[in-house]
Amino acid sequence: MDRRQFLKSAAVTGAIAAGAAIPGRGAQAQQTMLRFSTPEADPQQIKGWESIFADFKSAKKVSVQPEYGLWDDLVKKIAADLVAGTPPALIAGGSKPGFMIDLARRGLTIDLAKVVDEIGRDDFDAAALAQWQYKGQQVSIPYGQQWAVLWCRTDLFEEAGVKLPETWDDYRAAAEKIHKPDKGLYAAAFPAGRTWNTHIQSIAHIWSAGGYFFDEKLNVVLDSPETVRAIRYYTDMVKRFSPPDASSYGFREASAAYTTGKSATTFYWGRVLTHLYQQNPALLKVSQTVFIPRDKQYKFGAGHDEFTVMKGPNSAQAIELVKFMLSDPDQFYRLLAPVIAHVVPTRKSIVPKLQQHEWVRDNPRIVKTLIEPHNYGASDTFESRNHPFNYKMDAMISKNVLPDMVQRIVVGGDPVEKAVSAAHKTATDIAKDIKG
Amino acid sequence: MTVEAASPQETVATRVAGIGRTLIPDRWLGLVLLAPSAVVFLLLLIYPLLYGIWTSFHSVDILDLASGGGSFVGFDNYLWLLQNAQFWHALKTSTLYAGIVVTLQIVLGTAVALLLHQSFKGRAFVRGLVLFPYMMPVVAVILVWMLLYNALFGAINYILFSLGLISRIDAIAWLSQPDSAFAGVVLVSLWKYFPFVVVIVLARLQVIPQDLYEAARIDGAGAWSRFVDITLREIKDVLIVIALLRTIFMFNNFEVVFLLTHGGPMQATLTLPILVYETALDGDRAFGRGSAIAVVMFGLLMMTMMVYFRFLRREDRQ
Repeated sequence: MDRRQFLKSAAVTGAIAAGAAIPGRGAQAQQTMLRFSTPEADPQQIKGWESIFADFKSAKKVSVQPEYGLWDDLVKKIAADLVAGTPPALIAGGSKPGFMIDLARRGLTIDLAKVVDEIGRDDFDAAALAQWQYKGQQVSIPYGQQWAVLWCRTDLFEEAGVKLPETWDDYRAAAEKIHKPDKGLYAAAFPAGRTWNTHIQSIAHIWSAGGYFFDEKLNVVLDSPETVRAIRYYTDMVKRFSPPDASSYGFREASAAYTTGKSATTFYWGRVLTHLYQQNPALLKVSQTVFIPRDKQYKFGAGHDEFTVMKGPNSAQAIELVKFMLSDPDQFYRLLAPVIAHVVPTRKSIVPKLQQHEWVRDNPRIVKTLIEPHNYGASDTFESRNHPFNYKMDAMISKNVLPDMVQRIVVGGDPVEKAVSAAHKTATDIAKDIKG
Repeated sequence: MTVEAASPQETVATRVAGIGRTLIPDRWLGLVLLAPSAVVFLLLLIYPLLYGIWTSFHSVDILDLASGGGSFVGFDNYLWLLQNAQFWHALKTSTLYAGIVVTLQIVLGTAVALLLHQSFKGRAFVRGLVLFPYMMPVVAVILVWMLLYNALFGAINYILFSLGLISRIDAIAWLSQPDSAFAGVVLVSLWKYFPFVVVIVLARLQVIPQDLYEAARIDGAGAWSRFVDITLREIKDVLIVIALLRTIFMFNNFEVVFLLTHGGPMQATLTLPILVYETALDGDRAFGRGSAIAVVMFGLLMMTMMVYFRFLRREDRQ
């Protein structure tokens, strides 16, 4: 073959290959593929999502391409997708109002106020909706809410002759009696890893002691006596009563410590109920939940699972999918059923359906604190009713300000006051650079 | 076959025997054939590099990138970086991590290559088996090692406990203490990537002339002497190339460290790639500052590459 023949055949081969690789316009028009991103990705939840998407495809002829991620990485994933010009059409879960509202501020999301009206605004929890509003826009629709509780092994508490704890002092006193590391049993499982869970639990203790991360003008006020008191208690419980690897604990490890029987208590959300049914049903009969023990007051983080629709060519179909999931009580219930009692519906009319679930009926001692309304919730974006929307907290979470502070004490042996003061300085430096 | 005589106006390059005119003169053909790869190189390597340098001089949120937002801040991001204790800590950790891992990889990889160069039954199978860690997906490797390291259920503590070396109450939390976490990350990186060294060194060993060993034996050289004076001398150049390439790779490694420890505990395993990730994509999403760190990393690696190229030039001259 001479050069010309070679070039000719190469050109023909290339053209054929390119032709085969480029789908026809007709094929593209027939198939709408909706990208969907969520960190709610337990195996049962994945099955739930996929059965909903199969129904949606039958009803609306729209396919959904799910992408399952990690809670800690969702914001980074969405940000990277946006830069690449390929954001998902619909995001479920994430519990990051600061980030979502930042997206809305840039005009990247769809206002879902009309969708809420169509479904029935009165049926939604007004406070939950309010958390996801920005300048009159409904940036996201919270479909579920959740908060952590303290999971307790009642058999071990009875054996030690102590009651389930209500206060920090109760908890510490009970831990003294239950803790038996020589038998592989730890009284507590306070997370101290460089993780979001450590942030969530440690800030809840600061709130309980009456402290805040930011004041009402969004200045960092971490170096308060309340924070010192809370962190002294928290790190003491890590060092004295938690498993030796607690300083690498995030969500999974804190849950597994309890479900495997290694720790007598753990802070966790309702998901543990599902894990116990699947992994250790024997513990169900000896488990009970109470609110996270308090200092001055009960106060802990209340998060949401929410739907956010991104602006893009498939926004209309994404809105249809949101309506499909939230309007029909059966579909809505399928969002909650895989991890029952983990996510409490924000639509009041769905709650009775939740209460009919066999696991909920059979475990009143476990689900009571998980699904009944209370007034103890706070959030990173609204530390109190008097705080304005906090656009600075996301940075504190992702820069691990509180987990690093906890680790300095637990791992590095720093005095509490020194570690709190260092965290305050770090937070102040970070906040200085954040534009409103 | 008749050959048409070329007219005075036609150049030889535009005519090919029996075919007629060519579209591309010979003197351009090389450039034309290179063009596709040059375009790909420019688009996928040069453009991102220049874009990264450009953003390092801007204050820009990652969400503003798509809209071209951000403001020029001159050297502010670099000044911030120089005053940032976390950067210096991460630079030190990255250098230490890359240095230790590469040294251990070379020692272990060379030792295993020497072993696999010997004749024994099942050698081909063992040679295949050694590649196993290198072929496994990183995420799977990390999950397995996390289980091994687990303080309560991990096999490592179980073995130590069974041998009576530790008591149950003293279960070691391998990834929860700064020193052991760093050592744990080094061990996984060593295990995962040493087969690369084995493959390269083994290939080099197979082309060392056997005559050299026979002559040395006749001259009375012992095993150690033959290793130092023949084997090591012959593979020295390959080892230098491996050291340079592995240093660049390990200095840039993100996934092993991040998946195992997220840079903790107490930032003991916080390397520069993790710091770039946290700075550029997380929190305040300071993409400009993240780019500045990445540009400094690039500069450091360029210096390593210059050593590599100088070495290659010396090789060519020899």
